[in-house]
Formats: sequence, C-alpha cells, structure tokens
Amino acid sequence: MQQTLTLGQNFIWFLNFWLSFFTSPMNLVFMFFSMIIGIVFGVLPGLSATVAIALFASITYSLDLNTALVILLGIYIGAIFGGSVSAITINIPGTGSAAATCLDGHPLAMRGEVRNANMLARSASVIGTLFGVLIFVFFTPLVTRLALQFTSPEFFWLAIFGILICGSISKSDVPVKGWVSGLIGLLLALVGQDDIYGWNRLCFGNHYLMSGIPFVPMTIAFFGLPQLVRTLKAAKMKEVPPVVNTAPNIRMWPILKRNILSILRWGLIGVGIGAVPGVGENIAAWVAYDDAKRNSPEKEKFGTGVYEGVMAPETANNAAIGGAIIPLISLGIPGSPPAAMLMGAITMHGIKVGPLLSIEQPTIIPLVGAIIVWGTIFLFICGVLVTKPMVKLLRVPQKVLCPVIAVLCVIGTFACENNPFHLILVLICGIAGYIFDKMQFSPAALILGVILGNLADSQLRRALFISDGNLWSLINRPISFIFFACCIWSILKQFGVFDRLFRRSRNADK
Amino acid sequence: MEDKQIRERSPEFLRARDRDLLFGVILTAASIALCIYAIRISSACMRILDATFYTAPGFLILIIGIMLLACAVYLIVNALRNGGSFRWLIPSRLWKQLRDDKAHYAVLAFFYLYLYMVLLWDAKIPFTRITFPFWANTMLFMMLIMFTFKVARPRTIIIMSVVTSILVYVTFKFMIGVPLP
Repeated sequence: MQQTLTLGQNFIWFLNFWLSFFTSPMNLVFMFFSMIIGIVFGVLPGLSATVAIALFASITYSLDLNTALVILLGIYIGAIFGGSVSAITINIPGTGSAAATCLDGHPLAMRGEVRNANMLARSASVIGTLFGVLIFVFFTPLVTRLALQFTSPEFFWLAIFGILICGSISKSDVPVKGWVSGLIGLLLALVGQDDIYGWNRLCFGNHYLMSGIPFVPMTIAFFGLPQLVRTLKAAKMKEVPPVVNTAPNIRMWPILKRNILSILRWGLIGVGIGAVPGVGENIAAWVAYDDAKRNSPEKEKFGTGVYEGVMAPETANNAAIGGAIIPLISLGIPGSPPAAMLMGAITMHGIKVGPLLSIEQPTIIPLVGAIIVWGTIFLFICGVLVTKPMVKLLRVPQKVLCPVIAVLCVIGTFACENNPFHLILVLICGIAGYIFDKMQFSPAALILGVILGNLADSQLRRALFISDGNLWSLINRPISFIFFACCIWSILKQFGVFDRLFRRSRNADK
Repeated sequence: MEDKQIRERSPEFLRARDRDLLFGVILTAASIALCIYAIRISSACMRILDATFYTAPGFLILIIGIMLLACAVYLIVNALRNGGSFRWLIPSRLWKQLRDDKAHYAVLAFFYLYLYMVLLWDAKIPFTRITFPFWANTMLFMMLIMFTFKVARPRTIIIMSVVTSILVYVTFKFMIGVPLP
C-alpha cells in the first residue's frame, strides 16, 4: 500500500525534481516563455492570472503533466508579478493583487524612481514566492495528513464552506450576490449524469451535456469574453504618459536587510491569507500594506512613495501563490481564483486533487515546489529583461489586443476536447458572464461553485445514505461540527451580525 | 456616514438596485422552476430505480433551489428598500439607457464571435464542399472586429489580421501541436 512521504523524503524528492531541470532544457525554455506570457497578461490591465491560466490550461492538455505544470505555474507567478509594472508605471493595477502597489509605487515613479520601484517590486515578489513555496513544501503534508481523517460529512461541509466564502470574494455591495454566483456554479457542476444512479440532470435532452459542462470553456467564457467586450466598449483608453527615470539606482541589499523581519511577516500574511479558500492574493496584498503602514515609524509618509509600501503588497501577493496551492493539493479546494483555474487544469490531466492525491501521487508536492522555485529564478531573470519592453507594451491600445485574445479564447476552448459544441457553449456562457459582470456577480465565485459542486453532491448523498437519512450524522463528528460552525460563522459575518453585536456591547459599556 | 448616504443616492447605486430587483424576480421564477424540476426527477428516480429521497439525483438541486429562492427574496427586499424600481423598464427609458450604455457594442461583439464560431464549425465556401480554413476565418474575424470598433488605421488592421492569423496558425498547429477548429 502506498504511503504519504515523510518530511525528509519530501525534501529529497524536491531536490531531485529541482536538479532534474538541468537535464531537461525544454522545461527551462517553457518556463522562460510562460513567465513572459504571464508577465504580459499581468501587465495589461483587465487581463489577469486567472484569464491567462484559463486560456492556456487547454493548450497544455496535450502535454505531459510535468510540462503543463511548468507552463501554468510560470504563467501564474509571472502574472502576479506583472500586475505591479502597470501599477507603478501608469497607476492602473494590471491585476487586482497589484492594486495596493499603486499607492506607493506610482508616486515613486512620478518622482523619477521608476527603475527603483520596479526593482523593489521584483525583489519582493521573488522573496515572497520563495517564502510561499517553502511553507507549501513543508506544511502541505501536515494538512494532508489531517485531511486524510475526513469522511463524507467533513467533505460536504468543506465544500459548503468554500461556497459560503464566495460571499467574501464578491466585490459587490450585496454579499448575497457572491452566494448566488456560487450556487449557480454548484448547479452548473451538477449538469450531466449523476455519480450514483447515472440519471441525467439538467441536460434537457441535449446529449452533449450528458458528460457535464467542461471546466475550461466555462472559465474562458466567464473570465475572457466579458473582459473582451468590456474593453471593446470602452470609448477611450487612458493615455500612458512617458515615465522618465531620473533618480540614481538604490542598493537593494541594505533595504532588504533593514526590513528582513517585516518581509517575513508579510510573507506569513501572504501565505496565511492565500491558504484561506476563496480569499486569495488581492486581500493578502492589502493586509500586508496595512501591516507595513501600521508598523512603520513614518506612517504619514505612506502613499507618497515609500519603499516598504511597494515591498509589502508584492511580498504578500506572491507568497499567497504558495499559500493558495496548500488547500488545493491537500483538500481539493483552491485558495484563490487563479488556483481554481490551476486545479481545473490539473484535473484535466486525470489527476484528482484532494487528500488522496498525496497517496496516489506522493511526489506531486515536491514537484510543484521545485517548479515554483524555478519559476522564482525565472521571475527575477525575466523581470529584469522584460520590464522595459512591458512599459512600451502598455502604450499599445488594449482594443488592438482584443481580437487576438478572442482568437486565443476560441483555440483554448476547442483544444480541450476538440468538440465544436464547446464553441457554442462558450458563447452562451460568455453572454451570461457578461450579464453577470454588469450586475456585479462574481465569476470567481461561480467557478469555485463549479469546482466544489460534484464534491458537495456526492459526499452529501453518500453521508446520508450511510446514516440512513439521519441529518444529525452530518454534524456529530468533531471536525464536521467545526466546519459546520465555520459555515454558520461565515453566514452571520456576511450579514454583519457580529459587528452589530460588538457595537451594541460597546454602547452598553459606555 | 455622509459618504454612505451620498453613495446611496448616486444614480449608479440606484441603477444597480433596479437591476437587482429585475434579477431577483427572474431568480425567484427560476428557483421555483428548479425546485419543481428537482422534485420531478427525484420522484421519477425513486419510482424507477428504488432510490430514497435523500440519495435521489434531485436532492441537492432541491436544496440549491431553496437557497437560491431565499437569496432572490433577499435581493428583491434589499433592492426595494434601497430605492429600486421597475420604472426603467418603460420602453422609452429603456431605449435611452441602452443607447447611453453602449449596449449595442456588446451585442455586436457577441454577434461577431457567433459568426466566427459558426463559420469555424460548419460553413463551406459557396458552391463548393470546401470548409473555410481556420486561418482565413481568423483573418476575416479580426478584420471585421477591428474595422467595426476602429481600433487602428486600415493599413495597420490589415497587416495585423494577416500576420496574427498566420502566426497563430503556424504556432499552434505546427509548433505546439494543438488541434485547431
């Protein structure tokens, strides 16, 4: 019987995979180009790591898992970093995770320190990613060991908790909208034959739907197409003013040495928040920025171009990559929307992520770790090479790039299963995605629902089948009760019940 | 507090509540239909395959339907309490809003995507049995969309369309080996 790897074995496999890259130059070439693609997607406002991974997931379908992971993780890391380039240069975050970088990055650029700001962002991203991967490699086996104790009720509540978390993903002012997205996603996941009886659900006589709605076309439809239409609709794109570098280059090492403890703290914030299902890099960056500001002796200078104001969000958002992959591998629940896309891509290769993965594929954790470490090295190299051309790319109107991305969307959709029906599906889901977008319903929440749908369905029915329909059995084990309590907490928190209670008790004290 | 009040009176906020109200009503109808559908397939499965109610295929669908219904009611109540109404659905106002909103651009963009995908799927060159090759479709689609949305000068559009479609075709077909439509 196969066992999970011990910590020592994990480390040896990690070294083995890392060194094996020296003997496979093609993987290094793939990593280089995927990093550049990732940076391009990150730099261009509106496009994101999620869109990039969604597009390239199907293109990597025909490749082996190792190469596919190299490409997708390269894109992921590159895109998260790329967002900072446009945030610093034009004050528009290329990705949501770089929004906090704008606050101090752009003032630095306006002061003539654009090169320094980019260098700080790059170094912080490299450190953050490395920190995240270290935690990932050593912490995931522990979480997995705990997850191996899970039975059907725990899995069911975990899936429900993931969907309830959708409320916090949603940018909308009405939290219910996140849940509606998540529930619709859950519903879409149930399309096709059910696992237990083979009964057709929500197919309405269409035989193409019997095998379910494929993941990749749906992600392309809900993320790619609405963005395209939004960009084409925009009357006038913001002009990119030329940014001039006038300040002398700073020495990085003393700055890093001075902030070493803070960097560790921001890294921990990134990993911790990244690991919470559904929260992701965006919030990690903001929390780290807030932490940097609160702990700084020069709080009032934040927002005017402070080095720590660039380093904190960039360390945290890249550290969140490692964090987001921990629940993905150990529990089968992605920590962030790009991690959700990554999960879909891994699933396409016939690998079922979750606690059993570390038994069925014990070397997956060190493999992913080794790839991310290589990604970090390439992030530094590509960051140095392409930052300047990327600033020029920002001057190309996005409308010009839209048709090219539309073509990539079509190729990505078709390449997955060579099924022309998916093209129609992507169009229908694209229109739905556009309406969702207009109404401020989160597509990320919907995708999370799609991912967790089958897990929730099969585990709920299995749990009730075993207990002969006894609902009490869903919460009578300690772990399942904790998850159930988390779900209730999540619902009450979204409606601001705790805030109101605290306010009332504070008023009573006064 | 004052900021919140200003935001709540803004036209954008009110428009969002109007949309919430409409979506809430549609969602109510859809979730009721979903509950009925779930009960129907569950009872059919229980009759034919001897399933129990909680293991039947419609069980989770029923739960989702009820939860969606609750969310829809919340959306409607929240929209009505914050000034949402159906007044914007009066044809004259709706038309004005659609024009302001540049909704026709979105319709046009999706129509071009539809043409592109349908052409890719099955269309043949008139009077022949030859289907349009992928690169030709791509070139046509790119030109069409770029000319309509005036993204660049005509010469640039033509050059970009030709270069991109050939580049995409060669890269994906021969270099990466991805099957193209």
